[in-house]
Amino acid sequence: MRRAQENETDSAATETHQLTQVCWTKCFTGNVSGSKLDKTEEGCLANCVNRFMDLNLLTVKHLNSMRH
Amino acid sequence: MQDLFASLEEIPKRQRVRNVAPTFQPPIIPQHLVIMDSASVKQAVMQQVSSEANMANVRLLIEKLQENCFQKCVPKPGGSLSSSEQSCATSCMEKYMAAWNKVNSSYIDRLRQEQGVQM
Repeated sequence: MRRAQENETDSAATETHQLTQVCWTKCFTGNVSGSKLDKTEEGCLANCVNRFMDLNLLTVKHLNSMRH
Repeated sequence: MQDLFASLEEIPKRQRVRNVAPTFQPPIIPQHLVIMDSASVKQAVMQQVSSEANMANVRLLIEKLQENCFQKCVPKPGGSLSSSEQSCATSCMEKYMAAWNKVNSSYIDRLRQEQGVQM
């Protein structure tokens, strides 16, 4: 049980690295301004993560539907 | 008698090891841990594994920071790293880490949400 949890947090960190990479290129297109996130950037990142996951689900669903 | 001599010889030997490698001090193991039960062995192994996972995590973060902030802050590499490039890089790093945290919390929220839907 505990091992499963640890694997989960481990893979969550790895997944976060990939997601941050993707969303960084999406949400920070201009020059770097300031060292803190502003409201629009935070919103963009949250949307980016959620839409990425939506697409993930959609991809799996679509591939599944192609099998039948 | 034999055992007593053996244990007497142990002492200078240890001293010698310490003299040869002063930076490496063999850890003083507390008496209650000398006979490790399987639980404490397990715990030690798990600590080792998790610290290695942390190291891998940190290494990956450094790699990403460098890659992304180099792209952003050094568009045309010159003869040296200018002060504006340096200040851009430092704020870029801080921003990237803030973004990492935000992405992580959003991701975890989303996972929780999906697990809640499934159950």
